[in-house]
Amino acid sequence: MRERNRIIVERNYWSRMKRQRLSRRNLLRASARAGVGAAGLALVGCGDDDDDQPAIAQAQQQQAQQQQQAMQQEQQAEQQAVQQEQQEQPAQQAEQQQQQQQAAVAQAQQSDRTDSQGNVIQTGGVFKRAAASQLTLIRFPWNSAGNNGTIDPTGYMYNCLTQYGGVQLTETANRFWEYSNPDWEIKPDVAASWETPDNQTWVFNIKPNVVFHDGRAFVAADAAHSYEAIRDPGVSGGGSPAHNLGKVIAGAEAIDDVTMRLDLAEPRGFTGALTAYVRMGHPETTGSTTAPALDVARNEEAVLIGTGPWRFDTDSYDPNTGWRLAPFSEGHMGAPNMDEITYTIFSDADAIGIALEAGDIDSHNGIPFNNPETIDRLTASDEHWGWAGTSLGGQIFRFAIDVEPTTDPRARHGVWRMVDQERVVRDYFGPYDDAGRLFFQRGSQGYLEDLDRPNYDPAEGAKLLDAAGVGAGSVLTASTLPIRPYAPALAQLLQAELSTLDIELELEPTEYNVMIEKQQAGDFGNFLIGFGNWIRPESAALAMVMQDALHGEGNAKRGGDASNPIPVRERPYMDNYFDWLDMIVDVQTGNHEDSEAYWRSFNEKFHEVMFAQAIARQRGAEFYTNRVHVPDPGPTTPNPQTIWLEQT
Amino acid sequence: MTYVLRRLVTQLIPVLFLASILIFASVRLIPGDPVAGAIGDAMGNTDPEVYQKLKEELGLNKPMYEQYWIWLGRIFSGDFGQSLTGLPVTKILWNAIPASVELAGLAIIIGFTLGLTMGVLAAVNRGGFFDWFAALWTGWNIGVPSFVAGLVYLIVFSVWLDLTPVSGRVPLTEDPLEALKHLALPALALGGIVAANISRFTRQSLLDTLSEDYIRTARSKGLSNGAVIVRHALRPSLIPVVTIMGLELASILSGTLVIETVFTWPGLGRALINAVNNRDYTVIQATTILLVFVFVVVNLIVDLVYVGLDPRIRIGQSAES
Repeated sequence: MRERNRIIVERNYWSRMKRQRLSRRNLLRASARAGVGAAGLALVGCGDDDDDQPAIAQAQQQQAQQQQQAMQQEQQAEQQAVQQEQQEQPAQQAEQQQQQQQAAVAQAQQSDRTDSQGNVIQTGGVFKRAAASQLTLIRFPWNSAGNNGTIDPTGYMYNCLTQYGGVQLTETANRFWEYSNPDWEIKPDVAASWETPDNQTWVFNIKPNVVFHDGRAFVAADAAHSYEAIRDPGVSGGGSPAHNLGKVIAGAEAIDDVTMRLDLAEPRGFTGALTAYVRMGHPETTGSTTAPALDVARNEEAVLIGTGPWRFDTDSYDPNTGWRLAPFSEGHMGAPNMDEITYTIFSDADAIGIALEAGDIDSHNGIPFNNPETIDRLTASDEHWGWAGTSLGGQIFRFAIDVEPTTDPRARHGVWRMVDQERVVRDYFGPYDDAGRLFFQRGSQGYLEDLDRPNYDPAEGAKLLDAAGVGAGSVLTASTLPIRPYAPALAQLLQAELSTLDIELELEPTEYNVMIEKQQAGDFGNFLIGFGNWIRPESAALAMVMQDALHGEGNAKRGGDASNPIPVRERPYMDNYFDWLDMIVDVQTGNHEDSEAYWRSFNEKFHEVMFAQAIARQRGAEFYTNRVHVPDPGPTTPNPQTIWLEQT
Repeated sequence: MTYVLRRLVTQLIPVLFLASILIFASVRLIPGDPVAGAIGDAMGNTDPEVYQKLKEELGLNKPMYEQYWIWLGRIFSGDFGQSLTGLPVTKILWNAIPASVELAGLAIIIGFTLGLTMGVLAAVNRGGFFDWFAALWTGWNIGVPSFVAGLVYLIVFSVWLDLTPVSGRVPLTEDPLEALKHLALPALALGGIVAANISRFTRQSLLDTLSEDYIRTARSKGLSNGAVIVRHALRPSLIPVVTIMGLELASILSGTLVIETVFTWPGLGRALINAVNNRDYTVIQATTILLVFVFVVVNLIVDLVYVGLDPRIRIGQSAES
């Protein structure tokens, strides 16, 4: 990983002088000043010590004359300098820039603030970020966010009860930064402290100085409201990760202004993600409406109100252009370091890469680039820093377990062994993606290379399919998403493999929005290819696993009724549900063992429980221009408070 | 004037009415549910009550004909409805139209000026350098898809040469110089295709005209080559070119869909693409009907321009009279 450039602030005068450009203007000015100084010294140093008044008067007269001459010289020099200035506009601009930079550094020195890397923090500037085109007000309000792109702006605007390192489990390898919270410690955010009187109750003490963007004090009732609200599908969107996390909550209640009690539905280890993932919202903008952001947009009086260091500028929002965040200096976190954060909506991922290369934007909000060459150029660039490589996100291959013949796990495993994962990854994903299967990525605690190998084994697949009664003449159905090129390619490879066993695979190419409906209705045939990320790189990954482990809705339903899903714990293969649940809780809380046997067991269970298999770990890239300093990177977005921009 | 009014009554209004029906119906034929798309996500399941409530809020629970009449009625009062993004469609259009007008305007200027100039030069210097250069230019612009050409322009002019910004827009009224910097590449990408087509037609039309008997007569009178071309050949040659120009205006409108996406230009084309991706019916309908309106009006203007170019053409008269 290349070390990022840092501004070096020299306190040594000569080293600073050495860096300064010696212009003719500076030279003339310095000469004139030297002349004045020399004249003064001559007068003082050469004068008599006696009190001879005429001599003093003469000396004073000489001094005045010399001073006058020197001033005239200085004025002439200034005039010449001005003339030169007019002739040397570019040089002047460069000089001005240099002076501005020095002023910014000087200002930072005065403030005497340094970041965790020892750099003097500068203030001001506009942090320019790119956003995905699908981003709409309806999709990024508060807690109904469904993907990492939408989490980004709200990450700047809202606080949670805690900050939890556990969600960074997946952030160990191929990242620019290391764990910011490697000891799994749960750190306070708006909660100052917490205690657990019993195994179903958590009591949080709220910091007393937290205020909303509208100036009202944040109290425990607001925290309780936030937890109650995410349980309401009408507020949090029903399918959002936050809502699914909220299913473990029995109730939230404010005891007084600074104390909130959270009751869980069943005994549970501490759910770190629940307190580090649920954003604290203002009741007036997180009300029980169908789509709060829609109401916010309709009601010009209302804005998205949080407690974070940045507030949403509703007037700036244009779904065709972008939006801006304004600093909220009156909050408990104080003024952020930058003047403004702007988001430009890009419809084209390659255009984002080019904009970043050209310096039009400072960062790109984790949106993967389609073109590996763009990543190569940014990696080689001296003007950018960041990381590129495999990340946790996986393109999935999801089975329905209530549609014959994939009700039989052997049929699912059989089909999966017919998938030439490595070929698909090599041909369609490029060099940055891994044909891995594991939840954990290389370098992380739970990664085991032998388990991560693709399991392409047509002979074994044929045996499993035969054992499940899927033989010659059988018909399987699958939905694919043609907008992702690997999906139809993989489907055709699989079709060819299965045809050697006289098993027919009927493919239904499906458009994105239709696929959403199909998945929600559980109506995608035996499996779907290419839709939905298995686990997204920027999300609270274990929370997602927890969500699937607990509920796992969507691909198994009673009597074909999508609104009546079969919970994971009741599914036929899930005979060790509570063991599995315990393991997830242990991993989340850091109470896990750290032996290879433990992680092997975890991974094997994971493969058995998950009804989705990864085709490839998604290519991920996150780059910044060198002017962006992210001293304390967080799990989802750069820390909204400590990030600062180098002034040029 | 009577002709213009008659065209408006007999063509513009019926065309817009039929187009509105077709647009309204075809938008609903696109697979995918806008409500599910708006509130669902790839991992989750939408609550049926939430789904139904939002559908009612957006008026999508009503029968299709009823939705159509409501929409049509609102258009007459200047209300294009509510976007799924949460904003009024008029606001989205209002923000996007100036951007598209700027882009299309400059693309037209580049396309027409460059196309006519290169076409004339290529015809006059047939087989010479200009002809060769024009053929190369035309080949590039017609053969290379605009989204590829756009990306190439971005890499060369913005990243390598650092001459222009990559994305975004500065309104012309705010800072004309900066606005032109932002406009240059998308307008070049869009206008380049137009220039290529016009150049080809101008060249061919001018070559045809130059082989006419009356041109030979003009030359035999001793007129200079320049006088022959400017006074006698150019004007009749432009009649088919004007037809092409009318069509090229339409291609500029459709070209904005791609170019605005590549260059992150916040115009109507990008609004339409985003709306299609999000199944934002009201925005798709409003944008498309607006583009149809512009197209019909442009056709009318082209017909009027014919009269100026060819005195033999009389508008509003049948062939027999």
